[in-house]
Amino acid sequence: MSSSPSSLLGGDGLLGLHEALRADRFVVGPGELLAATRLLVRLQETGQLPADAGSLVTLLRAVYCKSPAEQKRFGTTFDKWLETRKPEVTLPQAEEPTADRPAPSPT
Amino acid sequence: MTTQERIFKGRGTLDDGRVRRWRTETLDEEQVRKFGLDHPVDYAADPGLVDAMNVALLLGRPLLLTGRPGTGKSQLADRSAWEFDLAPVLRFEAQSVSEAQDLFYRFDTVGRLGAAHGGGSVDPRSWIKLAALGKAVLYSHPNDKEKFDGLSLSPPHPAPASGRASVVLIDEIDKASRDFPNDLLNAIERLAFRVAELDGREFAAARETNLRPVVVITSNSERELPEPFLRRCVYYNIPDPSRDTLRQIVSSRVLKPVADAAGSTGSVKATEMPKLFSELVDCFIDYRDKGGKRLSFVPGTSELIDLARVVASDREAMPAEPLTRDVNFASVQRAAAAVAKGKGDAEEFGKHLASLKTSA
Repeated sequence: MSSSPSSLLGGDGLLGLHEALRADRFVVGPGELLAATRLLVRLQETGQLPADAGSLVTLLRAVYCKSPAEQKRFGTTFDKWLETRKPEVTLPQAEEPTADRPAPSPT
Repeated sequence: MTTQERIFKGRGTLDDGRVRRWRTETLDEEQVRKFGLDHPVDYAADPGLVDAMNVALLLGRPLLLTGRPGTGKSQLADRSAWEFDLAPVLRFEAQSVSEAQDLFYRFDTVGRLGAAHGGGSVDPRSWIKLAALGKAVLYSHPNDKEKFDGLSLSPPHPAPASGRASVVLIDEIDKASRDFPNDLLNAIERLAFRVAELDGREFAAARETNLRPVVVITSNSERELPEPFLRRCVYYNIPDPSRDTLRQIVSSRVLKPVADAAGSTGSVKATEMPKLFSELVDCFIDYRDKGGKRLSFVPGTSELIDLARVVASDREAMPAEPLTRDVNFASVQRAAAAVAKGKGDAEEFGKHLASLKTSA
């Protein structure tokens, strides 16, 4: 799975977040899911879609929340959901060259 | 600029060199200082509020704001109108008897009856008083003679020369009847109204999305709003300002105008706030937070501003000295009514002040 905001426009989109919110006793229905998805589309259309999905939290919060209490709790539920979307396998990173192991020649 | 492209900044100057209309006048910064006005340039929205406003703009939905009095709910509308050059804000103050039609217009039946007896005009068009949404509809295409010919506006208004959007503020919606919020959203979505007194003639806003109004709704949470209404709004609760933010607010809205009036050229920064006012902010926060349920009236930022204004205007007060110094203590005591408004609150505030004096 990917946590880039543009990936949320395909596949299951925001369905996972929607279900996570319902599980955390947020009163949300299809209307909120549609509005949140439309928001992502509008952000992409206007070139405002952030590069990091974590930056969506305060934008989606304004669509999903209806009370100060929900506004306060939203970040925790959002973070938990985002954690589930992170890639399960981390690709090995290229190692930094050292004195006894020089960087490979470009040729 | 289209509605979709409007991006709300929420704080600071706009750096484009344009002098924007604010309220009903076009004022430059020097005039604003001269008149000591709460100009939108001094407004500082927190990042969450900026995001919520931009979501509302992107989705074309009303923004519903809650928060204690004085947290800047209504001023957000002024700031938006100023930023987007759509001032003045069209305001509607909800009341218990408000109906959806009142958002568009009211018909002055009594005035027309009086005119009929006095030989004045009885043309119904002369007795229609457009309200906030009615004006927003008209402003979206004010030159459309076919649609609006003969519809006079009372009182006279600064209608734009060409069609444009408006910022509409619907204040304190929680004061209105239970049906009002849902009727309001229907009205905002349709942006059209029929005037029974003109044989049911319909007036409708221009269809272009960039001419639709930006709608800000405020609630003091005096009662719960219906679920369907909440679902169709973008929502943000403005949290209580932090200690630093309150100091900045007192600096910009109280101390800076006082310094400007006295001819000072330097700005008053929160970090170099005179001791008296710094301690006044602390005193206010402690009174509000520790008072808790004992207080009949929990004061908000607007009450703190009033308190600071009264103290700032007291010639006997010594700003560089601590609050517990006798002259300052007496000054704050005299201004207590600005924050202690409920039954028994004056006594509570007095006890709080006395405890400061004891611990000093």
